[in-house]
Amino acid sequence: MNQQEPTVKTMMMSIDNLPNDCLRLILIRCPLSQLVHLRAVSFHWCSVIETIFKKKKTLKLFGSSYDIEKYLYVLTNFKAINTEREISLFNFEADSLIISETKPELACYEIVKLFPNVRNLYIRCYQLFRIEQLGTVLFQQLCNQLNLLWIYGLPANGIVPHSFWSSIGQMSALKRLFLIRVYNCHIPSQLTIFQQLNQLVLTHNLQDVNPILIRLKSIQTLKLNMINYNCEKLDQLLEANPLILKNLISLGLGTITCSNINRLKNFKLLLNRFCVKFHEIRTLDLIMADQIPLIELIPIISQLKQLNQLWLYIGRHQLECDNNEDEDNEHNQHNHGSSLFYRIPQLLTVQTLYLEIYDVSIEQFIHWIGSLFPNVKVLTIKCEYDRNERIDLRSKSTIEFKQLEQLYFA
Amino acid sequence: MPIIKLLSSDEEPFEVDVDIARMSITLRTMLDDLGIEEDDGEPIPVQNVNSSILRKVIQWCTYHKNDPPTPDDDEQREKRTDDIPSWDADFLKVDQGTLFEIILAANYLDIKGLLDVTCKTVANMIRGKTPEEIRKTFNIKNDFTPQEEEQIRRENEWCEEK
Repeated sequence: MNQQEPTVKTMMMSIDNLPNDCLRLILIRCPLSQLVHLRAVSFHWCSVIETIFKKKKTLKLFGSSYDIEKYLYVLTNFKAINTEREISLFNFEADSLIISETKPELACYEIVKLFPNVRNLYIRCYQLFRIEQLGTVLFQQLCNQLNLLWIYGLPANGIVPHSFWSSIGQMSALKRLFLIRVYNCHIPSQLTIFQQLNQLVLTHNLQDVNPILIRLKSIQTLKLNMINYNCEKLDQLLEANPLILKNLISLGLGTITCSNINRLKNFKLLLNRFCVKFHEIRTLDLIMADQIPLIELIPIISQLKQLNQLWLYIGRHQLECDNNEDEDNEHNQHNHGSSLFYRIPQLLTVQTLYLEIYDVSIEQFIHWIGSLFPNVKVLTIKCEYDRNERIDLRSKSTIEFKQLEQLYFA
Repeated sequence: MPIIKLLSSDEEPFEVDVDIARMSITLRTMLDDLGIEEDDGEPIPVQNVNSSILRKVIQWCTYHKNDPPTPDDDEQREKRTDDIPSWDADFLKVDQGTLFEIILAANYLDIKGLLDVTCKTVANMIRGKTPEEIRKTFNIKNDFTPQEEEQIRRENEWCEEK
């Protein structure tokens, strides 16, 4: 026993004399994986722990501690978390379990028994993705109640049991679906759940995604990364699913590939098409997108007249001016490209700004960001600035950003 | 500062600032219901808490009287246990019996901050321990038969311990 711990000196009262509510308040602070095993302490503990399990709404299933480390790494690295930052660290231990490599089938049966009221399910566990019971037992049991399903890393060969997709297709309450790193897996576009989704995140998928997007009749938040897409497909989508124009209020674009034109050019054209067509967009996430110079990017984004939240990655070269475009380059570089501003519209509607910045000086930051986003109220920055630079940035920001209410360093 | 008198279960009186007493939701409700704003001669009985525990509770409340209020919704509160302030950690270096009695008192008096920090302290004693070690630490009787225990162990094989 730890020497710091209170000792059994006067056993006038024991932990088992506490009311169940108090024992529950103690045990909910223990890691979930430990609680599974602590059911073996006594009948009393077993009963209190199973009551805790029955109230659980969120469950995160991992294949190994390595998966957890990667998950946590991703969460703490702003750029990498594009599709995952919704998945917070909040009570991480209290929601997470590691599934044994040799007993994934047993896991499915036990999880539905112990956690019958789960609403949000996160799975990053290769051993579960290869067994039928994930679909036939776990998904089937939860299919009328799951609100959020987060799937990470399907087998690279694309082979999952048949029941995997068919049981997802029956999830009548599902509103938020995250399919991250699905690679060669063919997602059946005919699944009816696509029509009911409010949020879809789809990354690393090689199939034509339009048949899926066409079925998104209620979608409000859409994030796409590492998929193949272009303006032509977007036009087809809008023709087949005009509702998406009205419903979509949050868009995230990462790396978008295209077979017939240059990737960067394709991205600019595609982003422009989105910004021209989708008037309801209030949140735009380009953290994972290819980096376009601000002089080109901002005019495109400025077409979103209701944009309130913006996520951007900004590197030094995005602030640089092209020699051909800038008549007085030397002068402008000295002034951080200041003369360019008359050519770049300000994004006056943006009030919440999340920035990841690298290799950008404080002066450049203040000058560019302060000028382009004068009405920002909440600014979150992921940067490499040291403590003194952050203090400097904070004090300059309060002068430059007149509306600034909160400044966070991620 | 108005003072009121509390009477422990073993009938020891304690004079306490009203603001400190009102950190307990139970006492606050009682004071409000009875319309008591300061000492009117009659001590308020705290029936379920003895003098040694009530003294500790008052000591904790006095130290934390200026803390911001703890959020009500327990489910929405972060369940971390590595954030116990050093004063509290020292304050709670007591024997197990006393610690559990403080938990009981905090629960009865409805003092969320104290209940929170005491539960965290016990949770930290539980962390990383096997069922057998838990039984030993807290002197809990194993009421499972060997067969039942083996069955639970087998049922748990799907879940790795971190």
